[in-house]
Amino acid sequence: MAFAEVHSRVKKRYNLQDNFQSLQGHENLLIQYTEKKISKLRWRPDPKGHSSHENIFATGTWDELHNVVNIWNYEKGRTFREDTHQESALNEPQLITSMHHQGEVTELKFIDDEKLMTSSSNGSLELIQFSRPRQELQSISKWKNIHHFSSNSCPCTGFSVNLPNIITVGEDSRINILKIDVQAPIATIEDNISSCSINAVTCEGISEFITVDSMGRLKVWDLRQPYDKPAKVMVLSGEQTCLQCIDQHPNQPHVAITGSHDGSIIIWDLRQDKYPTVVLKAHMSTVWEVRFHRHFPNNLFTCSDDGSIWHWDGSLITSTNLPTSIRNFSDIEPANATNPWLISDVIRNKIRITSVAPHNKLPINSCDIINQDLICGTDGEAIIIAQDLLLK
Amino acid sequence: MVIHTIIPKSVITGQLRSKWDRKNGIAVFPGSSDFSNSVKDERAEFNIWEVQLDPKRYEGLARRVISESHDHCLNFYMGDRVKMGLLEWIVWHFPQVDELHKKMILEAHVIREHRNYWPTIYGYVVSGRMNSAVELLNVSVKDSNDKSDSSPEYVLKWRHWQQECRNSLTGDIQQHRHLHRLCRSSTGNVKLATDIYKSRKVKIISDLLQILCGDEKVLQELSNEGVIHTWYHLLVVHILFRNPTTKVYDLHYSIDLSLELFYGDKSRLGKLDEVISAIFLLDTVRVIKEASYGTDLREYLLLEYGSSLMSARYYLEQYISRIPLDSEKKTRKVLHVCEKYGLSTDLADICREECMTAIRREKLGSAISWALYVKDVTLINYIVDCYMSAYIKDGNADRLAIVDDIGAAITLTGQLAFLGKFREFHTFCNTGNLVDAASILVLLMVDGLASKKYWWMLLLDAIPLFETEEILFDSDQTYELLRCLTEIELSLRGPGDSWSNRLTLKQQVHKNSEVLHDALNTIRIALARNLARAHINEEQ
Repeated sequence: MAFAEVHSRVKKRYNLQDNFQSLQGHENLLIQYTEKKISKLRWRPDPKGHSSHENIFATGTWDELHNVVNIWNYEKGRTFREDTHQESALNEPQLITSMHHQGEVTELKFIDDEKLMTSSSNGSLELIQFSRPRQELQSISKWKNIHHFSSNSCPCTGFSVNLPNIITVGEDSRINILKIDVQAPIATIEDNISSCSINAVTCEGISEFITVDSMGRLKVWDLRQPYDKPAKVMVLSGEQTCLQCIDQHPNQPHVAITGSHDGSIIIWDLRQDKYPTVVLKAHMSTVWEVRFHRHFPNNLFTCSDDGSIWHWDGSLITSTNLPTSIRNFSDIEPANATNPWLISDVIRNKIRITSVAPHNKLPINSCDIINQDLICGTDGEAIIIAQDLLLK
Repeated sequence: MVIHTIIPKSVITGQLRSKWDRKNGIAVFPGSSDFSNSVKDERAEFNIWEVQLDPKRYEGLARRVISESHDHCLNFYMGDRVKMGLLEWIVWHFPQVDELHKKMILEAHVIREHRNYWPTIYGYVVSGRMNSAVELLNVSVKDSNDKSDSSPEYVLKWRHWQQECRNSLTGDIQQHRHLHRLCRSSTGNVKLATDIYKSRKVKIISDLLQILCGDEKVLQELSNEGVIHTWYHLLVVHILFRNPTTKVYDLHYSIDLSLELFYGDKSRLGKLDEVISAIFLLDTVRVIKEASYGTDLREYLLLEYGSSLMSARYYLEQYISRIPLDSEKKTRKVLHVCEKYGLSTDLADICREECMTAIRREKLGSAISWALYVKDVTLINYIVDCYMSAYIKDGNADRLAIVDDIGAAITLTGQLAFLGKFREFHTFCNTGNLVDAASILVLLMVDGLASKKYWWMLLLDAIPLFETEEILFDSDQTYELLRCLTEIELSLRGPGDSWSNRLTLKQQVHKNSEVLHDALNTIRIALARNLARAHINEEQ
């Protein structure tokens, strides 16, 4: 039967216990309580043209009576305590401004240093202006009810921005394509065949984007082709594991990493035909977010419902210490040799994983990294900040 | 309120909880320099607040106290033995000993001679961290430059001393593995023993042993010297060395004793002490009463929240079935909570509910993944029926692609296996692989894989196969198919196989006998032709 063949393809499934270490007694770890459960948080990118001395990030909440979007300013360093004449605790992030958000924040992204966009559990998308001088947030435009069941609203689970296009996905298995200055969606794709929740989306290029859904499918869509069918469907075979999140390698967009409901991290080579390259048994529970470091893509961060946040260091796997067979091969296909995440046999031994906040037990819903500073948002109503991480 | 209490909220576990910052509730990890004395700070703060009654700050502390008590109830009392949970708790709450150790390593040339050496060892022992204590003791041996051989005199004295030690260890304590190890390493190591003996540290080692024996006097001394910081630390030491098998319901003896030892006089008890002792005794009402002291504002909420946390499992079960699940993310989180606490009935109920919602919304993909998650055969069969009726309605076989990647789970039910085969049949037809398509049809019909209510539709789909140039069905197979056809007709006419099958079949053809009649006629003609051709072919 077909499934027997499918089943035999899941060949790379590793346990990673040997590669694991915990960051013990980390002095640069700070917890800030927010009194609301954090669903998403993102660093603000530096303003164009000059680097900013400010570390600003935004948080969005979920499962509260009044959900909010908050902007925080985080000055690194320690305060000097006069009474003890000692350097004291790390500085706390300061709340700059706050704004009411209708519905739970399901995704939050900065478009540039002054604009951020949020998606909501009531099926809408909102563009918000952040004015640093006036320290305020202001809603600029809103796409209401773009995801819905026949009569009820339905959560918009995520969006991806690649200006001028915005792509939103939702639990109604719809994909909306929006333009930033047009009020109605310019196209809607209804996925009637899978007809299950689409959990995340990421833009591969101007005209391509990738979605992952609850049935373990990764679909590549091409906006240049007719909308009714995806350009490619890849599956996490035989397992029916719900894929929850996705991130693409910043330099090599054909490498995508997804996190699944059972805690696995799945690495996909989008040039392959149908199946993922490697499945790594990682966390104990749903992986809510995977993030490559934008400038050091050998560093990957994953956070999970089991309360763990892991720093994956793939830097040991570089082209110089690969087996010779692969190194010679690199002349023909350099991408494979320099991308540590695709070499499945090596990955198991060379990858190093650090648990950044080993004592946290409550679900971490989101994480983001800029430079050497990592932020995580938890259901414990806390933001965990780990500064000056060792990146390679 | 309901939602707030469910997915465990505000519970700052483990180390994150260790330090409560004075300003607005920042927890700092014990690595940071101002960690020491945190416990004292807390006590001081609490007392300050009693005077100032600043509700906002008070609230923060009260919340923390309750969060902690949540931890106690869920983790400490999982079994009826409390020791291991308490030990873990105390290690995170009294990291001062690590500070001492660190300072000592930084400052000392010869660790053994440092003023903090013995306090550190005491600290480790009273935290139950025997391994660290033994390690430190061993370091001292390596450190030692004293190469003198053990003279017969020393050996003799040492043996005598060792015997004394042994005598001082009572049977109950002997059984305790950690203690045993410490005793062995401190008494069994000749060099160390002589070293200690020579350096006139007999007092120290006997103190240590007295701690191990749980001698009250030494414990009291240690409290006065500041090695044991709080009465609840003393309580843990007491349980560890005096009564390691204490059950939850015996805890109050130890608590009373520790309070007495530490304070001497119960009137010196602070608010926090009251709360903590109530937490240890699982006296929910008293905890909430004490913790909500001074805050009228949120007392009701606090009570509600607190009580829900305290009787954790029962309330958890009750609440879980009442959480409005308005998004899949939330559902998955609740499922994890169910998995964590072994609430398998609730887990299955939630999956079924999600599955039915998905069916109502015509999201069959979601529905089948929920049904497969909980492995509910009835639901799976129901969804297969939904798929088939949708197919009968619009003839679009594409949506059956859903079964392609189900994997091994496809054998869960016969119906699902049928759907898989049916999908395969269509794939073969579409790719022109008619021979394989024909063999699947025979398998489905003759071997009875397909439910009878779908025979009619299968035969209708197969008509092109009967008319191909190449003969795909031999005469025996065609006879069998004809038999199936007759059965369909019989079941429609008289009181046939089963009432429900007939009804479904009738519904499928919209109770329009003409459509059905035509369809069956077409099938019969096609089959008859095929039979004739098969016969001729076989005779040739």
